[in-house]
Amino acid sequence: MSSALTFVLVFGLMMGAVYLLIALGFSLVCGVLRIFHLGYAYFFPLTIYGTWLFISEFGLPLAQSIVAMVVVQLVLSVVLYKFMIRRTMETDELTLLTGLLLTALIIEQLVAWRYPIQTGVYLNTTIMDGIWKFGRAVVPKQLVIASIVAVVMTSLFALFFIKTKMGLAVRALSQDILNSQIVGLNVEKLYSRTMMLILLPVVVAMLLIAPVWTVEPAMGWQYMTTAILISVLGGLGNIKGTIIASFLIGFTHSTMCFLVQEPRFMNLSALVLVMVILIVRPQGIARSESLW
Amino acid sequence: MERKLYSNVLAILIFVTLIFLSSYPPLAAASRGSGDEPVTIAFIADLTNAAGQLPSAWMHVAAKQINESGGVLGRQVRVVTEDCKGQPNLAVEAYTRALIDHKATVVAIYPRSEIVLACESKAGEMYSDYPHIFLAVGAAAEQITSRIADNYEKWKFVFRDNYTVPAATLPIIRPVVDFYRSIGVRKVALLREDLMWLAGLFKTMPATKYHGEFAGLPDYAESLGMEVVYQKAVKYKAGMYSPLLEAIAAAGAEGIIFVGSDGNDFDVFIKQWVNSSARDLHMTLAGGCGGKFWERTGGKTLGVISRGSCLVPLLSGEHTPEVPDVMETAKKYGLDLCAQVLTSAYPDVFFIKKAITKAGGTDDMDALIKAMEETRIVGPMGPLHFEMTRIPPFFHGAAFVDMKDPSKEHPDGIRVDLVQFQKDGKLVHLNKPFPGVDGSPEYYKSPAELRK
Repeated sequence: MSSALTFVLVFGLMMGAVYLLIALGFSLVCGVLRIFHLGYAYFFPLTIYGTWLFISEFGLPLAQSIVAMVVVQLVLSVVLYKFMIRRTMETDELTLLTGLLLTALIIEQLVAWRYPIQTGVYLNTTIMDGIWKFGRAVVPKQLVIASIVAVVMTSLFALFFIKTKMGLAVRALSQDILNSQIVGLNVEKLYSRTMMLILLPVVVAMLLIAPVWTVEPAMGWQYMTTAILISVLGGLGNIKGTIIASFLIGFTHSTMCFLVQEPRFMNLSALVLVMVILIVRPQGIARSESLW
Repeated sequence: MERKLYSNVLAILIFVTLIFLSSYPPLAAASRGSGDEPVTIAFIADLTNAAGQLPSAWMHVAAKQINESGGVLGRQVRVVTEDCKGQPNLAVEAYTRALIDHKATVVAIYPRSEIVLACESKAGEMYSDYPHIFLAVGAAAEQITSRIADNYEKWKFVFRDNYTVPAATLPIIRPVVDFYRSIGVRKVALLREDLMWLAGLFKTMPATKYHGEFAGLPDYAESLGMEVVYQKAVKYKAGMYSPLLEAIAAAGAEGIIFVGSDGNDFDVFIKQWVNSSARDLHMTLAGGCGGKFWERTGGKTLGVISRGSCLVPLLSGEHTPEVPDVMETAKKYGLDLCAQVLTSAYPDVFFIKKAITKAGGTDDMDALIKAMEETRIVGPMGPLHFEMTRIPPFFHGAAFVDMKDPSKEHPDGIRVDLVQFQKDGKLVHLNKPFPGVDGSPEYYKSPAELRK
């Protein structure tokens, strides 16, 4: 029993940290742009298969392929913002949501067509192979590293929003667009940069967990479901709430895995948790009017 | 004037008669495959994924190879692929088209079993007007061949080139248990994917009027003196396996056997296995290692045994005189291999060629059915012929199970591979099912040893 509890604790922390990376971008886009970014699912496969494309089709080394993939993602984000989000976000939210959803579906289908599972896609982004022991718990080194990176990256994001001018501006924007414009903030520029900013946690998360977790063309929906659950639970767009929600979901999942010994209940248990908390606190764990 | 009218009426009558004769089903059917027309094999598959595309591509290549060597009785072989997109209603439509439009002599259908069964019902309705051969490629539901023995006249044209589950699952897994025992494994963990086709694997199979009761996998392992310390039905594509692996290691298992299908995420399972306390345990994946498994896991499958994934041919060259070397063919045409290619789709076309030759053509369907029942060729995975013992669901299925003891492999049937992934993804045979196969249990190295 004590061994199981150690596993629950250690894996809960690790899963929570990784989920934080997965959900951070979604939470930010909800908080700043105030849209439910249904296209968020495409970031996940595009990170893996975009990198693979540059490795396999252009023969680039891994590091350069990652850079090239990030550039592609940034360009795509800007294009999406300029030609879809900006044009429709104020006037036709339904069209915007449909457009974003279609974008994710199209990218998924393209990936599935070009790289079906039998293609044998594998990104060697392993930093450390093997296991570490924490008390009685055994954990993959790669996941521990991913968790540390997640915590560091989230801290940097928090510092960015608290300490920098741009962070302050984005926070102001997330609270009141009209007044932000009146005081002279360049809303277009901030939106555009936010679209690019939300990419980073997802890209880092996917590269770190690819050697351990699922990689397949349809993986985006699975990870986006987790991101949505966390963002809703945390209070849409609030980073503090996102952090708490990530670890709550992480501990729920690890409890199902190591205490109940039934991983198939991971999603079900998280859904029940979110529902119960939303009944008690409909606004989620934290206020969703501000980013921090 | 009268004479002109008479000749016009005669011309119209001849025209109408010709139209009538050409559209009358039995006569239209009689024209299938006769004379110099090509022999048509229609292949109905879900082409939206590689699992359907690959067998189709290989069947086209087989037809090309046959045609290059003179065809069948001087006639060309034509493979027509119909995409059913994985939907039973589209498959049934395609089946009708295959018989009416393509005049197919053989209609082959690739899984799922639900689709095969839907087409089989349609085939039963159409057979009297469109005599043909129904060939289920790779489908495993026992219902497909369960009614032939009791109603032979109606269903005699139905054949299945695969083994049937769950009855044939034990013959696949038992050799793994035997192998574990031979290398000293005494405590074993058994996992199966939680899908219907494996529901009976861990249970005792009750006796039927055709055979006695035989033990489920755990009972079989225990009958050999092994202890089953962990067993579980695992959610299909679970994604998260670390908890199970830790529990297995904590239970003191020395070896793991995971039974599943090619669509499952065994690559994820292996990625988590090498990062768990169970990483040094002997590991067998029975099924589930589809193409490029080594690449998909980034080489982490080093040391894993695979059984039933048919990753490499067992026989080639002089051992398969009627079937060209699959490895050379794969290289020449840039095609990947998969279980269904090695055991069925590719050798099936050569089997059909031999049966048609034996029957002297395709005009007499009863003669062709008899030839199908009597034909035997040796394919890449061993002898391919149909079981003729009238025991459902084995009757008219590929000979795979020993009818004297249905828990064992057929002494003269298809074999599935027992191989281990070793350095650089090299596959090493751990048994010697046929003379000429370089395989031995002594080639086995534990995962820990291989990682050094």
